[in-house]
Amino acid sequence: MRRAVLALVAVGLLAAAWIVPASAQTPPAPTSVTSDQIQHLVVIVEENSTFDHIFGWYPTARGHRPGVPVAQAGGRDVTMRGFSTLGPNTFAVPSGEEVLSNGSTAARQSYDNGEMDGFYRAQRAAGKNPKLSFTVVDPAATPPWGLLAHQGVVFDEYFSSAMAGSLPNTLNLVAGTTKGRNTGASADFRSLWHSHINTIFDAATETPNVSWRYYIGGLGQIDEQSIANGAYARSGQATPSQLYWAPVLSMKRFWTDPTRAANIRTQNDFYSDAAAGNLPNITYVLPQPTSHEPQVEGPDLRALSVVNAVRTSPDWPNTAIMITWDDWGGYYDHVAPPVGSNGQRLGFRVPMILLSPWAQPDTVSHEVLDHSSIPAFAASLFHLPGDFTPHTNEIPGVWTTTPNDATEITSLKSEDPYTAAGMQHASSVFVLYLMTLVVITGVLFALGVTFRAARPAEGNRTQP
Amino acid sequence: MMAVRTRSADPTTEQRDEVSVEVEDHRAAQRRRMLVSLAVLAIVGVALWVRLIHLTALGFNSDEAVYTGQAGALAGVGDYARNFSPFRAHPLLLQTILAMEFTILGHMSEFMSRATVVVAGVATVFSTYLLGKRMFGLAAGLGAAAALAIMPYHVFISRQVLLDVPAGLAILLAFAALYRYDGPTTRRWLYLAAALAGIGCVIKETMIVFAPAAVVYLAWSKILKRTRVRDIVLCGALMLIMLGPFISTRFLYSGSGAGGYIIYQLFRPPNHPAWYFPVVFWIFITPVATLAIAYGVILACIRRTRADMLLLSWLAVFGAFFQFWPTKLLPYAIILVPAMAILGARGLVDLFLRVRERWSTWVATGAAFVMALVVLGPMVGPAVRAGDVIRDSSFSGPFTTDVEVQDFAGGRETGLWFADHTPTNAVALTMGPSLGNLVSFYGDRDFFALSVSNDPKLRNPAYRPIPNPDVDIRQIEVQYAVWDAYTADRAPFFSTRLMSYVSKYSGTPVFSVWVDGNSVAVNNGPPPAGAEVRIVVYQLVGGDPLVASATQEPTGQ
Repeated sequence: MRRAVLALVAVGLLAAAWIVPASAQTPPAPTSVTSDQIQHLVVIVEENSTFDHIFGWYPTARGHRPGVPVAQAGGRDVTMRGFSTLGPNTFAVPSGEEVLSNGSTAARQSYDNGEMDGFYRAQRAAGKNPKLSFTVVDPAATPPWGLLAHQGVVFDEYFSSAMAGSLPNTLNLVAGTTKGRNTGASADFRSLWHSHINTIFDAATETPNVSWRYYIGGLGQIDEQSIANGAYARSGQATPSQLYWAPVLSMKRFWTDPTRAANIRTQNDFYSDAAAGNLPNITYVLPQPTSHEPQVEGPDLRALSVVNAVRTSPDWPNTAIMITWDDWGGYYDHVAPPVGSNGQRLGFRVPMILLSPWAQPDTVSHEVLDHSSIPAFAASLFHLPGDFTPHTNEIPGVWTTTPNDATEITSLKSEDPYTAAGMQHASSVFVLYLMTLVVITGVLFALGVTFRAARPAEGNRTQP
Repeated sequence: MMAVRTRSADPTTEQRDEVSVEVEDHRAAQRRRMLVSLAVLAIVGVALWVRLIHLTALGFNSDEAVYTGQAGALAGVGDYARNFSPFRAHPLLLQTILAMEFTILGHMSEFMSRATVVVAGVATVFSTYLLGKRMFGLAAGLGAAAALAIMPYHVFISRQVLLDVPAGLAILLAFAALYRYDGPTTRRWLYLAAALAGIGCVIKETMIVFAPAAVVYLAWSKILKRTRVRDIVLCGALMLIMLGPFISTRFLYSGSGAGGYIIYQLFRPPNHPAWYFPVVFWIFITPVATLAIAYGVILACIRRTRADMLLLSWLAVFGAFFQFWPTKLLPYAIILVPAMAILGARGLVDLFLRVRERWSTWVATGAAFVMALVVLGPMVGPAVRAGDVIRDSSFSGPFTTDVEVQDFAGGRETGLWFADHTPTNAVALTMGPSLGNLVSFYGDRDFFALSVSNDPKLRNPAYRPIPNPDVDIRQIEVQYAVWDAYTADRAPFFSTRLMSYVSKYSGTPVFSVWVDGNSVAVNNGPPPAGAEVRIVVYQLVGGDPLVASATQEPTGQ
């Protein structure tokens, strides 16, 4: 009996010795970060894509790669294909029209009560080319998102907040709510002028020592009077897209209150502020050109330059960048969105990438999130007043305890950096020259010996 | 050493007087030797002091960065091999010595690199004394060494990690050995001259010019007639042995593009006008010293002793080579300076003797004092301020020209800023490769230079051209633009071009260097208004230019 007890104790000690160091070596990722670690949150708002469209190929993420068959309503089978395999005519649409339909009607048709088989039909009904909907941006054609994803965290269960186009989703991105504006119709847009939706910027304005700025590409094209008198919202009037993509522009107080208006800045201001290390606590960036149209290089380069501007900023050591796409844009995604805590069906999955020295690199998170998770994160980080409870979950524990100092600029070129021609031969050249030093020493020594021997014979004959 | 006499009988009074005089003479000679030794020690001490003061106050210039980077690559310290290939234009003997130092230290050292060259510079001063003394007597030797010790040109150049200083020392010693050669019985001096010239060549290949200079001297002095062919062949073989590693590495690793550097070096376009050396010399050697040298040259042409012939051959052949070879850089002419100093000092000694002959020793001594004051005086100020930032106005010569010494005051700070403030794969766009080398050396960052030609025949193979900077900036391959005052002064075209990219791609000044008194000041941002700006780093915005994109008409949701 005594031996058995001793044996058990020994086994227990061994087990403890095994377990304790193991757990000490691999501490769990912290579930949150503090405003000491993340002093600057930069949210980059891109346009119109689903997770499958951008990251369908991404390893370890839940995506549909090119070649995967997709069953659509009416017995139609569609195969996912690479975006670059489509000819340029695919994108040929009349000026002012979109290549795919992404409104709430098309979204609900595509969702088809959770069957996710209405995408083809919805696009066909809207007069669009459905083939474009079932595409995956292959990394070889447009690498930046993949490169960035490997440098940070990709969320493959991140949903847009509304099954609709831009406005309800961008409202959720800045306020975590739409206050009933769930379709993006003209009435919703007009009603924003006098609305009192508590955005993250309002909360920051009311909080001492918390700064914010919204940098908007193409800000100079917007006329305040046309917003105020409803001219933009009237049928036939060309409404600047920024009013949908950055809905604070449609809210009166962000034009008339000097404190708020001073924080609405141009894209140029963003670059100079980032370079000077003057980024505020909360930064939203609406780049221009944005990925609204399926152009290949322009929007990608702009987004990359925004990311690089932050990563080369003196503020970078304490910054987190979140890049997301406001809505589905008419593209296919195979994951049926759940219902949020607000009782509303979420929109389709959109990509979300987190980059930060404090974020785990090359990580895929499967946490269910939506646009409202971002203002909730900002509110929690900077202790902002107001209710920013997300419709899904808080940003999960994807952080690190020690920051990653290695930062790289991401460019569209991927060739190796310049390598000097002689790099590989340096050591052998060194040996050859060392041998030369030995030879020189030997020659001089030999001459010295002969001089010593010849000195009495030569005498002073060499004097001039 | 005092002679000791042993005598068997008691010395007579006469003999005692004789011994007493001998002792007096000996004591006088000893005092004289001691005074001379003190004078030489003082000259060498001053030479060392003015070369060491604030030695690393300013960072490397481009050439120093390249040579030290090559040494780092050879030693395998740091990450220099990535940017500084051993295969550039020149041989690597100095770099090998530096590499040995780095290997011992375990890291690159700015001070040790420069101090190594300082030692060569001071050794040149001492060797000039010895050669001047042997040729024209003690006064000429001391005068030449004193002038060289504080000559601004020599001081500035021998404070930098440049090949020309140790190569120049080797050539000075080679000429000194050649001077001792007088025919077959003294052929060992000829061999030594060849060996020393070979060492010079393996430091810098242009020292091969010693060979024609030696032939001219030997022919002029008619010693060539007494020289055996086999001795000449043996000398050639000795020089080739020394050049062995330089030649063999070019053949062994020719696949690395090693040969292209020599071709480029031989046929590169001129980087200075023909009048460059005379004007720069006038400024850096100081006008009065230049006049003394001119007098010495005239005197040598008149007297044509063997020493004169050697010095004139030295000056004429090397001088002609550097004058007619299109490539002109300030340090190249350091080979000539010891010969100039000796001739100048000899000229002044000749003047002293003439004055003494015509008037009196006192007058001549006074005249010598005045001459020393007039010649050496103007050199003192610039020499002791060698660690300060140099402006054209630092020299009060009749001309102003761009000063190539310490061009990039602030270059080190800029490179270190890149290391500390940019991602590891950041790429800079510079106007010329000179500042780019500093960005690579201190910052370990890649660069493109606008002035690097797209034509392979017209560019140094070490540098990559940037055929379309617009594309590279748009595609975020290049993220920074670096403007510098030095290149802007030499090449305004590239300054304008660089600033057009800065403007087009919304460049924000993120770092700047300006001259503040005698040193440089820096700021992580734009320079203060009215500052004497040397360098500005701009961060460029990638993608389509912001101005153009602002005209787009986005529609839809």
